Amino acid sequence: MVHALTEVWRALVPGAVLLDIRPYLPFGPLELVEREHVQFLGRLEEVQFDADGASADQAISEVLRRGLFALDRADSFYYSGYWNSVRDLREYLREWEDYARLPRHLAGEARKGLKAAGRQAWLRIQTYVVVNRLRKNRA
Amino acid sequence: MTSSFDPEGFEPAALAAVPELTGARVLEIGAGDGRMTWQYAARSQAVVGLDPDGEALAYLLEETPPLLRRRVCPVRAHSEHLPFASERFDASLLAWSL
Repeated sequence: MVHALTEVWRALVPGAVLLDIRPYLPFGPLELVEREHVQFLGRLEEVQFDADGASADQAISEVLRRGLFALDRADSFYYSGYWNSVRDLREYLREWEDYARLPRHLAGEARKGLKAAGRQAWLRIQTYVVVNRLRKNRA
Repeated sequence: MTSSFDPEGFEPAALAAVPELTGARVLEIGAGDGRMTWQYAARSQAVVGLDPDGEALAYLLEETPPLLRRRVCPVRAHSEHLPFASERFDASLLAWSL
């Protein structure tokens, strides 16, 4: 990752901005959302610690330490995914199967919740996303 | 519709808050299917969307809105070996890719 950041540094003009936007795992809880009402259903099963996230943080720290970039600011937001069926939620989570899994009992809760709430209800998972704004040093 | 992502618009808002993307030559790393690219490309001078996934880039190419086609260029490559000259870009974006 440090090598990739060094390559990006090379490709940028001095003073250029580098935006590092990425999710922080684990995912937030699975919720049932019906208009303004939000119901906690449970947490996804964490398969493994997000080592890539920790490595990315270390890589950013390293290029800052080397003086290649300076940190202008760090922001964050919640990126929300909404699904109106457990099947679609499962389909999405397939992409993240190395990190998180929908346990059977939680899938059951989600199905039950959707059925009881009707058509206006959605399943929601919020992901915490960081936005690091760095600037290429002139030196 | 059976799924929806970021209907609150927090991600586009985060990008809108970066004035340096306006009029810039942007290198987006991990452009994938272009989800993030299309949120800012209209105000950039040019965008190179880099990704090692050829299938995702094909989708990006196919789905790029007509008005952005001359502005967005997909490139299949890894970020460890960028096929560009030095000091070629004014801004870079690591799109969920670091």
